[in-house]
Amino acid sequence: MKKSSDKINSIVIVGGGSAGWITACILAKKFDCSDQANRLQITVVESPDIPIVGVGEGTWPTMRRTLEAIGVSENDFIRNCQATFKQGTQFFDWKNNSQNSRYFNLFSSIFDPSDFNLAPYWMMSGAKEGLSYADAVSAQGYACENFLAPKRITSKAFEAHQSYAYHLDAGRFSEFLKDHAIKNLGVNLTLANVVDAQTCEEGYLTAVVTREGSNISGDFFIDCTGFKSLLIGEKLGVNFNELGDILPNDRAVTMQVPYQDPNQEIACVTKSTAREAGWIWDIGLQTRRGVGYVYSSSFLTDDQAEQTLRSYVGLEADNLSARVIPMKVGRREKFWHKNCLAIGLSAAFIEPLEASAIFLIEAAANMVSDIFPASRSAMSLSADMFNQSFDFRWTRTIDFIKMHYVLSQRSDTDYWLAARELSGIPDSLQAKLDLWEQRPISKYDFSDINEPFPFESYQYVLYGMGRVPKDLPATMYTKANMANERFQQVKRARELICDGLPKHRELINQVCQFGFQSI
Amino acid sequence: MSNYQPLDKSKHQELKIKPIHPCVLAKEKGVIPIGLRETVTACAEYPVVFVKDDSTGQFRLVVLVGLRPNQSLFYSSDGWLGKHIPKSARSSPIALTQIASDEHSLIVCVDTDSKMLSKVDGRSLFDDNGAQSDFLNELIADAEDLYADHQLVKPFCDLLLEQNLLSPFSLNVEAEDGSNLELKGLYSIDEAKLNQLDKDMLIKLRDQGALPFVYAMLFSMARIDSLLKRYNEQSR
Repeated sequence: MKKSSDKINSIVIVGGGSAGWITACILAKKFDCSDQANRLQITVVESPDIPIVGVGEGTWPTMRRTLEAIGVSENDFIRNCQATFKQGTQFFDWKNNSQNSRYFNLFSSIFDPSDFNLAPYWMMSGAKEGLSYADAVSAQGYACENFLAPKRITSKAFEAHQSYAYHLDAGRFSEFLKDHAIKNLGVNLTLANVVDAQTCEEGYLTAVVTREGSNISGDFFIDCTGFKSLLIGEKLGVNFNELGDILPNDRAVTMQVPYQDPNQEIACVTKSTAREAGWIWDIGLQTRRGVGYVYSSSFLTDDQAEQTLRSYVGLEADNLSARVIPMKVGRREKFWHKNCLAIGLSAAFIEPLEASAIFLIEAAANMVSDIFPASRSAMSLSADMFNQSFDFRWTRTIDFIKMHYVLSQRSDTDYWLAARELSGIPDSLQAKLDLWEQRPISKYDFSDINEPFPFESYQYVLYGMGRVPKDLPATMYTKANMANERFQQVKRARELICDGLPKHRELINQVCQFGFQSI
Repeated sequence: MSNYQPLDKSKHQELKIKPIHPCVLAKEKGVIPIGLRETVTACAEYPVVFVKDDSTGQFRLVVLVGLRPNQSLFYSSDGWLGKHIPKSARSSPIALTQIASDEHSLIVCVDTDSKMLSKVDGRSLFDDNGAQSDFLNELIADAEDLYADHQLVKPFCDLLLEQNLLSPFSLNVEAEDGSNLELKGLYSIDEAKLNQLDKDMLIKLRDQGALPFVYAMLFSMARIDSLLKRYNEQSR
């Protein structure tokens, strides 16, 4: 098919799901597609036959801005997506073989460490008295231990006393965004099963072919077809690089556990518990928890994994069914090729530790909306830029996830020993870890604006796992008085903040019944 | 505390109501909820603002009667110091309650824990024949009026929110004695936004009957000075 101009007038997103609908909403909002006079058309082609998978999922605080930017109400979102608040992740049994090691990776600290870094002073004082890094710098660990919400019903929508993200039901979330995209943002929906695509002589996609018989043509295509990678993988042949040698977890067994009592407390963190060949996530939604054991099939059978998960859940698991999900861990060599961009599982997948999946979908959609090429001739520059950026983001994400395993001193199974084998540790990660044996983590270690995980997250994980530099010369850390004053302020802030916070369950009930105000 | 029970002739026939300070419930209240129509009278004496209800986050229309949380500059043991006594500050053991199953039906309730109730002194709720006394009918009429006026607040507030006409503010004034008086979490009409409102929206406000209340709220801001004056006089 020959085009009279190389202008980009239509975007076809293949695949609904979180990736497809988040991307559609962000692009449609950015380009004002609800305005009839606007010529940029966005069409999502969704299969009516592929069922929606609803496991509990975690996000990062970026989701608050994303939701606000695309114009949805936080109340509607919480009511429709089973959503709850998330203030971080709590890791159990990761540190060593002992059954009671735990630490927090939290979303907010009382003071900004890039302004004045309290970490070295904690190492020289509090740490020696058994005070955890999280409790030394943040009030949020205390709030989580006590099932407290991150805000009150009188706070305005999206505003936080302590930073927060969400836990949500991904299936419902897709439906919610789909409804918003179609009703309010001017996105077109075509229900059809895409089976193939057509390309022009230069190798650009021109249309997708549906089983129902019609072709849907477009100028720009976004592949949100999940692991299948129909466009960028099957059609355009961009390679998938597996990462099993770095991150060996390749399966998950999951279960949905309804609350026994409607007033049961809801955890306000994602819980992550290390087990013999992986780890178990535990996410509290409104009416049920979503739990899952992520493991490596080289070390564990599906049956063994299910048994472990059942014993983790306890008696409540008795009449519940479990489902095994195979995972293809790796990433495309390129994410943007010609006029095809992959977002979501079609681009890359690494295990859900630290909830990077939805967060990187938001980042990809935001970036493409900002650098979107007006014409085909400007396409390859944007593509190069995007590929470079996301190559970096995925590399860093892999490093960060891998770091959790490398820092562990567990030696109870071959799995944990293998997880620390040098051959599986990326050089980029090893170099940083060597550096952080010598000095505290610095904000200058994260000076790239595309850095996916913040400086503070590395501090929480590294220091939560008890890895501190061997030697801190007192000549370099001379502001102990100022630091002590701040540690006292953190303690006071904990009382001040937490005193007025409702229980997580109570706030969710209030949101469902009354809702936050927009001011 | 209060304990509202549906008013029932067979259970409550002997009840009487003692005369009591009309605002005993409002002793330590710095803000008192008012209904929408009440704004017109109240704005002459008190700043009229919105605050959020602590347990629901929903807006309530209130008059400020103090400059600090839980401070009342109008309560005294001799009586209310203002000319207009906010209707919801007038103590009454009679109130209307929605029936959970039917939001359009209301029942008359009596607060059986109220200190105003007696079986000996005061005016009777029912006469000797068991019929509602005129006094009770008056109380019910007051309660109905109060309820109806409060019901008007939400649509008014929703209209303001829809037009983006509300803005949060904090009240911060310095008293003669040097103390800094602060009230947070107040919301009022944003005059600048009101003045920029386009013609259609302004007409909508007019047609819905909202404009008098919008201006009443705006004018009532001048009463902050009256509160400060009252504070200074009382603390001299």
